[in-house]
Amino acid sequence: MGLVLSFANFFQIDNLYSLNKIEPMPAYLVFEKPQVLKKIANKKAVKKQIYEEPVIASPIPETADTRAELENIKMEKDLLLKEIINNETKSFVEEISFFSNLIRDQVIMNWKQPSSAQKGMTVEILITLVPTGEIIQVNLTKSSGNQAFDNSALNAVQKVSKFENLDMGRKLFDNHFRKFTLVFNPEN
Amino acid sequence: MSLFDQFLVMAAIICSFSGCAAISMDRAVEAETVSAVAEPGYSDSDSPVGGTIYFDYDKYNLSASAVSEIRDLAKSIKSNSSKVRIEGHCDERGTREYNLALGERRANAVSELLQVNGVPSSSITTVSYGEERPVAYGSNESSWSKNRRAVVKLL
Amino acid sequence: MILRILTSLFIIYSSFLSSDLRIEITKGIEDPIRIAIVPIAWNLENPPREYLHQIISSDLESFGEFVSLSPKEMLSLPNSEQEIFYRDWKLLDVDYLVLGTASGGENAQEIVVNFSLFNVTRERLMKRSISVGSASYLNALAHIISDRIYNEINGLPGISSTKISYINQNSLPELKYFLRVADIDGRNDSSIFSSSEPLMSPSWSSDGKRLAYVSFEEGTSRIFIQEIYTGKRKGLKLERGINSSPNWSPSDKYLAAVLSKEGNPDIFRYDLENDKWKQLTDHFGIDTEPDWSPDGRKIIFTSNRSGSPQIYEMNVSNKKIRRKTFEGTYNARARYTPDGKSFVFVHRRDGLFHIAVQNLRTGKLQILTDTTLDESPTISPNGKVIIYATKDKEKDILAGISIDGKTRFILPTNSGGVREPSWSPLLVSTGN
Repeated sequence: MGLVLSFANFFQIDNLYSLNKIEPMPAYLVFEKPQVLKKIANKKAVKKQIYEEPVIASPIPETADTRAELENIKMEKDLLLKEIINNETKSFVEEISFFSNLIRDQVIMNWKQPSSAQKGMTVEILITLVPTGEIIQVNLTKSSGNQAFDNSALNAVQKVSKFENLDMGRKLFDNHFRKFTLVFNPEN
Repeated sequence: MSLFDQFLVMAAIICSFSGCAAISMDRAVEAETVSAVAEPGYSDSDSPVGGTIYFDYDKYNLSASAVSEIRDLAKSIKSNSSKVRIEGHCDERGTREYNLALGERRANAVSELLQVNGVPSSSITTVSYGEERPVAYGSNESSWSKNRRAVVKLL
Repeated sequence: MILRILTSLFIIYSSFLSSDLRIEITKGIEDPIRIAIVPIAWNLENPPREYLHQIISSDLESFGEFVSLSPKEMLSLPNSEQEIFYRDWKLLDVDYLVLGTASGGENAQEIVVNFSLFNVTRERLMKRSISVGSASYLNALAHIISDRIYNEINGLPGISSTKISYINQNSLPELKYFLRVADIDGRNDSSIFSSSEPLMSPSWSSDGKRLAYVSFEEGTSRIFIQEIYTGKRKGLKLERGINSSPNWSPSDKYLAAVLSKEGNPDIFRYDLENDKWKQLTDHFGIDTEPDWSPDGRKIIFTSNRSGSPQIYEMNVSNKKIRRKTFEGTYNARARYTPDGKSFVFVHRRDGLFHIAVQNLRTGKLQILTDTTLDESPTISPNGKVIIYATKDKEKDILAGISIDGKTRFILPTNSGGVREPSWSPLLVSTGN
């Protein structure tokens, strides 16, 4: 999976490179998810660029001061980069959380627990989706040992049959939501 | 308000304290709570009763008046060489089997005091009916207090 | 070189990025299961007047777990799997579908019902079963089918074939007490013993064939055992004082009971084989209301040894006793749940008597009822429903509540008052 991605990314490196050249990473660039992914992975490359393209336009004799200034600017860029990466990861996690909740809610609405359900029972079902939200494959990966309980979970999944409102970027979908596991574990 | 009206109001106020319904005014008459099912209670007097001792909720200790009543009862039992059967009862609150035990405690309390006062134990039988034989039906203190009793029956 | 670094970075980072997502579902919806029972087709010359599907529907709906579709609402009435058009049923939001045919059996009295249970959501057959019964006891046959359906869907035994025993008191024309047994749906209610003296504490044997109870017919409390189907009756060896609170051991070899012959009420064990009493507790307080644990190893009982009634548990083999209730000043009449993990009992709070349930391991107490003069809780053999005695406007009635507290009901009563309910064990085996 990673390999495929990496090859796909290869061909877009130049675009990024040119983007980076223009200005230091302002926050709003974060919205371009696929590019951001590569940007993060490109950390080293980006850094390299900074080195090779000094910000200072006019030639300045290399004194101790200018070297110090260069170091400062480099540090600033590193910090900015880190901040963007953090924000990125945060909103990344937020997105996963958001869609997970959407999925969870839709499953809850369709799950009728059987009378024999008890705290401690767990059944795990592997779900395969297509980007429209439709469930194309259901696999019982871990039985609870209680047939009625297993069946109720399978029923719930079957009833959902298609998750609504999963409008997410392709990358997010492929990485997390194409295949995921539902863990049914009552709290009562 | 005319003098007559004032008089009526006064009378109504006085009457409302004493509970009379003589004055016809728009005033709700307090009726006694009528039970939905008119259950006749068990009658203790199917056999002659020597005396009935009453108890507090959840208790089987004898009050001072009960003690003197039992003392007098003992005298008459001895003089008549009667045999007695003491029946212990409870009000409806609480579980039935626990009340059977509580009723027995009450009957035993009376029995012991009778014996202390000279009635031979061979003349006494005790039985508990728990909450099974109430004399009064009604889920209120008035009925409950009538049911918390030990009845000394003369055989 | 740079590209190589980039590649490895991509691979590492993207596998980090595409971690296996696990979403936890910790609750579902409370809605009852929706079931459609298609009127069973009769292949008989003279089909009986009772409608099987109606009895099965009301069985399943009894305690709030199911809701059944009325035939009027059904879009089609399939008689076989081939005739099922699942979309019709999904439109009606039906979860399960039952089809069946009934025909005569080997003799005129016999009815054979062939039924199939379908999972509408997943469009598949779940269970096919043949049930045989007598034409004159059609409801018994319906109950067996209901239990099989319940068991297949819920994984627990159904209780449609169980019975309830209780005491009925009538004052008119004269004061009389009746020991009654009825099917759990209220049918076949009959008196198996009556007396002008009080009757108390009915208790079912584990084999469901006998009832032990207390009768005052001899002028004092005495325990009797009666065979339900033959009427044969036998009194346990009478002792001085109280003889009460009988409770069968899981093996039916013993009865736990209360005798006060030693001066105060204690728990005793009666050996039915040799008619002998054995003392189990010995305390100057009141020990009463014993109940045997499902595994037969412990007895839970009420005792006021701490000053007021509380629940205690005793290990039958080594007689070790442990107090179980610590909340409130009146806790009594405990009954184990069938899984042995909790007990239901009478709990007094603010002067009012409620039915509560407490977990034996955690000690967590939960009040179930909001009625206020509650007593004698009895629990269904699948642990899902409790029936208890309470009052409704001065009248003694029996009420019920599901163990999760969500479904409440009142049992229709006879004339007079009813109390001291006792739920039978499972009487018919309906497992696969």
